[in-house]
Amino acid sequence: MTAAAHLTFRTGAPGLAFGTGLFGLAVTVLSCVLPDRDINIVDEDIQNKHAVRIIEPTQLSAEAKVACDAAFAALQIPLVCQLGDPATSLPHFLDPASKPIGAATSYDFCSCPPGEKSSVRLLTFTLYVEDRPDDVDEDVELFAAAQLDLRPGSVDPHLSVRYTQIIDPDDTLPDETAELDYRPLKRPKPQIRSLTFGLDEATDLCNDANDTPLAPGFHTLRLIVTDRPWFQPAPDPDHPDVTPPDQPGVPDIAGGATFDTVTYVFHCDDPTADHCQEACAPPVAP
Amino acid sequence: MSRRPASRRPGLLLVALPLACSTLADRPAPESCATDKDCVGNEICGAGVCYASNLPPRTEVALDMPVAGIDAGFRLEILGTDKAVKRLDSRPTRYQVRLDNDGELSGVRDQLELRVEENYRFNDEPIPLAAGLGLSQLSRLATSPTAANVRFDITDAMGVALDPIPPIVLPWAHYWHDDDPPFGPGTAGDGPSRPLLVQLSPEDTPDPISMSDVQRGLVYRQLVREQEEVADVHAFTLHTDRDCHRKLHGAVIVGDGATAPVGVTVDLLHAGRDPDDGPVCDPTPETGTPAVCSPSTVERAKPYTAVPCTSAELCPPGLGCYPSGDDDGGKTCQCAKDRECATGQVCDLGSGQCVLDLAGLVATEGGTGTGTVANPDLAEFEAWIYTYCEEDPEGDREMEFVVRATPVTPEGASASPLPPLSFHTSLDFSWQMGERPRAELKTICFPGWAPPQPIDFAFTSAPQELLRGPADESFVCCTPDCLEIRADGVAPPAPASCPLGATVTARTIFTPDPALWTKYSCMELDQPDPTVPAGSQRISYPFDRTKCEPGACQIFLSPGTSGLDYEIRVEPPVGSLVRSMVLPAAQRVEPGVTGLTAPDELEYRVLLRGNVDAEEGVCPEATATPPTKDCVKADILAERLRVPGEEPALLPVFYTGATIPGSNGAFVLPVNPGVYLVTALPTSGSPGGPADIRVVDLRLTSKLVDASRPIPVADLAEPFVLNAGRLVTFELDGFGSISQAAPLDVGYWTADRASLVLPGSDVPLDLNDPDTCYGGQSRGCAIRRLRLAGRFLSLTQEGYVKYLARGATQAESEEESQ
Repeated sequence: MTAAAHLTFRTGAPGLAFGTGLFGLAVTVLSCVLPDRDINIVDEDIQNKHAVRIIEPTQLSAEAKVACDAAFAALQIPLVCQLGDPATSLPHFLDPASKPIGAATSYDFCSCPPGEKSSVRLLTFTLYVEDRPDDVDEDVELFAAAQLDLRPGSVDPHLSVRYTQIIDPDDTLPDETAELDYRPLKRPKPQIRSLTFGLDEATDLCNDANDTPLAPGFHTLRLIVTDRPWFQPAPDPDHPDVTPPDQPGVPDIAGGATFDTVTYVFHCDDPTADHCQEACAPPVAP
Repeated sequence: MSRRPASRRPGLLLVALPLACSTLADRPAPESCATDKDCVGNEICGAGVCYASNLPPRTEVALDMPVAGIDAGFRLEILGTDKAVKRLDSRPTRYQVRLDNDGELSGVRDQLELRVEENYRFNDEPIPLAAGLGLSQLSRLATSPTAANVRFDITDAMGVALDPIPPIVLPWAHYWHDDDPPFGPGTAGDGPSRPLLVQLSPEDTPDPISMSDVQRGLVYRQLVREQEEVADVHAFTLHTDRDCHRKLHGAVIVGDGATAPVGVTVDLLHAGRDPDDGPVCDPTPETGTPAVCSPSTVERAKPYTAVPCTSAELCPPGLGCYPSGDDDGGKTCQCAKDRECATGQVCDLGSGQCVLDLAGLVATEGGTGTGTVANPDLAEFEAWIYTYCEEDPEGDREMEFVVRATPVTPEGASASPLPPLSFHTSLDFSWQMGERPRAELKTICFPGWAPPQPIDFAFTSAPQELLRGPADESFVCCTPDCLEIRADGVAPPAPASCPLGATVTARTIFTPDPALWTKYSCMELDQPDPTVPAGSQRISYPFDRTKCEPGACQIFLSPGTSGLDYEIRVEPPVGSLVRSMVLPAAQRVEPGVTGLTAPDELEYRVLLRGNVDAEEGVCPEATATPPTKDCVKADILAERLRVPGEEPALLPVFYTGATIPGSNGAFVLPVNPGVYLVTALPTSGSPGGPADIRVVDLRLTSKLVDASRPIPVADLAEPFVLNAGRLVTFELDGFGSISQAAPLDVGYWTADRASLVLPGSDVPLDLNDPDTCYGGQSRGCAIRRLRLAGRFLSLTQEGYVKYLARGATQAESEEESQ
């Protein structure tokens, strides 16, 4: 990176007024001198300037699509109006009575007898998450967790984390910035991470959450992402050498974390239902 | 957003001050391009602009889809270089395959419509024939063949005649003939190089006119679809001729004329001619019986027509340009040599057409010929053979067969009282005044051996130290299954001894008594193995004793008439520490012998030990020391390589293991001594992509192997590194969610071929070549698969399959090029 392309001005709270004055003077002097692209102004007390955001594509009108295409074409940059395709996005209510377009299976999931698995599964899906670093050449590190049936008044949300074999809360989300090369119009280019729910094979939602199948009925699956490591409680004063475990699914708001969530509602049918008796079977060893 | 220490740059400001007066720096101009070659590094060209992409080249990607489609699945093998594979430059950059055509864009699903009809000299028109159809096709990716079974019915489930009779409709993969992979069987294009073989199993139905029972044999046809660039519907009516079904009769005796004590399953297989003896279809060979070569074995969508030509270049791939034999002196495209035909075909010299090579194909119905029909002295059997007589139904025909006689094991018994034998014979099928007299086989003779007697198989070995943990705990075990690094530093207690489970194969040589063989006109024994003395045959008895209870592990061997010598092969399963072996001394089984003689000491496999590491950035930074959980979890794969001059390997030849829980990447894998391909694949859900494939010399003479210990050990210094890999996204457009795919690495390893050589050789290994590993049967190395056997990728919500392939990411490639 060349020197002219990257300038950083830093301020701090104690000298904010004085610093702002100097800054105004500097800007005045430099306004006709330096390219103003990539000039960053850093307030040392504000360490997380950009909130993390889960991206879900939305339907566009034909006119809006044409306008988007034209705007990208004019700039000769890769055309990505929005990440993902609204036509294949997962609905937030996985209606057991509906059959997804083009899919052989439905959302009519089954809680199977212990030890059995269901062939009615949720296809692996990917959400994209965007964030911007505080400095242009830094990488963001995002974390995610899946929470099952999180109660509104819960004070121990970290105990609701499930499906850890699919989303490990301690793993950072993989970087797809280069692959997607997403350059949104008229706003800075974010860094993109992918949040994939599912492994090689589709997920048996009602039987893969716990050691035991989920109770028949409706359930919620909540995906949460954050841009700081999960909250970690302070050590017990009586045992200062023992580091308590972090609390996955709990954003470290005191540490400046931001977060975003998306929630899906799904239904597990009773194992005695006709279609579940057909769908449930002991797993087949490879 | 990670937090980084800030730095101040006041000097920069002063230097930059006098430099320029502008308000906005220009954006860098995009790199324009027409093709990928105009771009640098791994960048690719899309919409006239170069951009970064981690998508691997087409030559490296392949998907084996055992189930593809929507409601009716079919087998599809996609190669990245196929014309049907498009690269989409919209994000995410991906390959795309369509199930069905979209205008001129080709899909990958043909539709076959199949009917079966029978000609009969007393019918003016062919009549529909109910039959089972077994379709099979060799793999184009040098993996397992494709197979499907369907049924052509002429009545409904209630037995009422269907009118009209619907054809069998089934999907089948469509490949454009220019897309033939540069490996695997055949070289001459899709249809011809991997012909679609159909085994017809006609139903034995009453004749509608005479109401007499009509029985039939198995019929083979090859389907040759019209070569079209786009997928299409291909209709075939498979014709057979009732007069070509001929009956044969044979008898079974034991010893000096005794009745067989159990049923015997008799299968006839079409015998093959040695291609070194000249053209297979030579109608007048110097020795032996002429092969059955019939143009009717190839079913074409359009009737065969000889294409005029002036040179071979004008002919379809593989065929030459030869004189047509007509008076005008012209030439036509035809074959004159077997090698001009595709795999599984030979050249019919009479017609100049490539026809099905029947060698090795089972000729009788499902092995149902049995010898249980009691006769006072003899057991008899009947079977039906299809003679491929369509061109000359009334001509006599001589055919050569291998006769496989497999005695049945009685219910509740552990072994059959008779040995399995195979014979070789020729049969004359004659035509007499419109009649089709049955052909007579010579007698199937079995030796009058004493029944098998139980032989105890009870070998044990001492447990061995497999590893020392971080707390210097010693893991002394029977298998690597005991390995788990625990936080308390305690290893499981060592067992007292390790009982051996294994596949045990007993082999002996049977030499017939010439007097008895002559007395009962016995068929001569087949001699597929040149190492066996003439006139004799090797008999094998395999026993799966991998899971028998210690102390109750038995095999059953006959002592013959007065004792027999057996060669015993012991092949422990993957995970065992004991080396596969042939017991050093022949085991003499006589009446009263109750146990196998164990060698003084069982030898051990080589303990391959190493580590799997992750490329920097793949694993999150550990917050605790030692890490509280494994980041790196991987499956270890080792596949035995064929080494020139080496004895054929005993099983197993493909090993899998896993990294040790709690060790963050260590592994221990016991393997038979040999040269191996070794790699590591991340387990499902673990970060990172596949590690590179490495050749590891694990022969006892290798410098890598410390053979001074009781159990030889090879410690690998260099870890297998799970790279960030290259994300491959395949869009499977129109495919249903039942579809499954297994990704294969069919070319990345060619990038560094200098390191992928056998020790002492500089010839690069070709992992697609069936002769490189021990896959056999036209199969390349199994280690090319990027998922364990039995594991597949499902389609995602977006209709994609995504996986990480080997290779450097875009950023790494740029760093290397700088």
